[in-house]
Amino acid sequence: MASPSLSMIGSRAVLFHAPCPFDLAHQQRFWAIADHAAQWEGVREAVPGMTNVTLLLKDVPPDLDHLSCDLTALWNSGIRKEVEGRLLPIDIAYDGPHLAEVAELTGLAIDEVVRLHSAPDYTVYAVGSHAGYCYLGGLNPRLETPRRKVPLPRLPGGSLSVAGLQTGVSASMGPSGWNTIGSTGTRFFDPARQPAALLAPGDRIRFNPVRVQA
Amino acid sequence: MFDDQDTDRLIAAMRSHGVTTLEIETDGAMLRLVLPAQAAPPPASTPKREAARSRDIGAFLPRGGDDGLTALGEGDGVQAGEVLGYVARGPVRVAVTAPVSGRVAGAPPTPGTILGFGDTVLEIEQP
Amino acid sequence: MIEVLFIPPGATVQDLGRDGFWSQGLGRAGAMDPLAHRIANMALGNDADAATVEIALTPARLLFPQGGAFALAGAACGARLAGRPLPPVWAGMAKAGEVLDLGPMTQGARVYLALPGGIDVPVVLGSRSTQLREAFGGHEGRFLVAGDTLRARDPAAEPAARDFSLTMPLLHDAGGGIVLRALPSTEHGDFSESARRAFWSTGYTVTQQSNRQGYRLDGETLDRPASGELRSHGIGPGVVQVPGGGQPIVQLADSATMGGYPKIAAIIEPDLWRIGQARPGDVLHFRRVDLSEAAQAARDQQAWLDDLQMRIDDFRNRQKGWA
Repeated sequence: MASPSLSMIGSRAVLFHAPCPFDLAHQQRFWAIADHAAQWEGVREAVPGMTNVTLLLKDVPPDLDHLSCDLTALWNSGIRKEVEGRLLPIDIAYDGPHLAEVAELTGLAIDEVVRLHSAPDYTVYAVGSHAGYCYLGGLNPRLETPRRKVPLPRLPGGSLSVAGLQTGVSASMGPSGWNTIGSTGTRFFDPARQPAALLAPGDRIRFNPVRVQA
Repeated sequence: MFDDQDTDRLIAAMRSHGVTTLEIETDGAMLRLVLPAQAAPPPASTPKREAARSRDIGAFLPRGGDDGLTALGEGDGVQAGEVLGYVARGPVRVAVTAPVSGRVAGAPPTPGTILGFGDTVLEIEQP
Repeated sequence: MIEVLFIPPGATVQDLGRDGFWSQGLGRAGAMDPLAHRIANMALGNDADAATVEIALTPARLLFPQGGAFALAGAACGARLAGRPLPPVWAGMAKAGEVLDLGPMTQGARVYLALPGGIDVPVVLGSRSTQLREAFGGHEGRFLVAGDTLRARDPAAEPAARDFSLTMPLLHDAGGGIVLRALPSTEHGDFSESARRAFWSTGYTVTQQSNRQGYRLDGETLDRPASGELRSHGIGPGVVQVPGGGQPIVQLADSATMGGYPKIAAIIEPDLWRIGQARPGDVLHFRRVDLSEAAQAARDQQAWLDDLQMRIDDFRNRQKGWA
């Protein structure tokens, strides 16, 4: 079994990951590691990814030995962060340009796509990619679709999309290679708000369909 | 640091400006010059020519090297305020600028010539 | 104050970036050439983190309606103030009504313009940098356009020294390429031996598909035998990713905070200014270094900046003495 590894992604940034199944229980271990590492002298920020953690450091580390040792110890300890994050209902208009396509790809009726997508509570595994964007876990495998061959260059903020086993809502205008099935007016990132990002790892979302239009 | 010739030029520059004390620190060495008070400075340049003067102590660096400007030669036309060359110490290049618009009278100094504060670097002949 | 008379899209107000919001998915932004940004500020006596205007495309024309002190640093662009040519690094005074013309860039890709005290735009989330994707920060969260006016935070400041230039480190090496020191990154060992050899010894050309978010490079294909999707993980400025096509992409100032492509290397921070000044067509050479060399490079760069600051301070003191 491969062991945890630590590598450089910048002169003052390291990435720690340990091979493991991709599920909530394991993601919770990385939340715990991030929380602990964030307190260490020399660490500016600790950011959970999808079963990994990035540490932004104050200085170029002389070597990776200490960090590797401490992070591996945390991993081996099995420590987990079981968050009872808040549950945020989000109104969604299921009216995206690719809704009909997703129905076709999955062999489901449009109503069924909406029902299966809005049924579970999704957990925020990580925040990143762009400001306020939440990587969500919990998509029903029946809704799995491939990424688009040609990404859309400009998708408005608030677009709900699916690809692979993932789903998410964009927080600002930008390109997307995923299949867009809905939209929301909820602002996931607002620089005037404190904190600016609406959600953090461990929070949960429930999508509330307010409209369906293919 | 500075040889006797340079020191003489510094002293001349100090005298022409009524400066009695000067301290320079460069490349880890320090030079301190103290002069007794002197008489009035020498007469100004001839009316038709204005002096473009050095505003620091250092080595002359011509323009047109790595600064993207064209090289400057005798007879070239320049605008008031235009960069004619530099007096360089380490990475700092203090510009020698044209006091008036006109033509460059005479050739610029040899690159590397040590200049003192107030030294005439070039003369600009007004039309 | 300056008024933009003409400017192509691509100019933004930047400082040294927005730290502390990576966990919220917000990247650093900030100057693509932090060295030139710092130097323009130093030349005017500003704090290092004072905001400047980063100009990425020229020609551009800027008016000083009331005159004032300003500084330039960065790309050589045949700058002229009221027709008088200026060197690429300059601190000087504009008279009321004078126009600063920036011409085509002959070397380098970005010019930084500083005003006394820094550009006066609001601080948002701790910084004056522009976040283009999220459309906030800097000047109204967008590129500058004709008609925009930018004020100095300390317009009345009379600089103690003016009309001087500075010697800058060379961007290109003797062969005309740009050398970037880099650390091997997470998936470095997964690339084939020939791919790793190609990456560290051949040149990669900057393509036109290059902007503040990242540069797409063109060169020998980098193959990674054991392919497969990676889980999303942290990325940042300097990371060299290699998507399926085998051509590298370097993430830069407006890098996303998370990505999923394999990473072969990470350019060290002291060399990011070099790629920030690279233009389409420039050839980049990656030079492998280890952590101790990366740490030494950071110390060397800081020492160079400290020395430059001291030299400028000495010059200012002498100027005060002469006056």
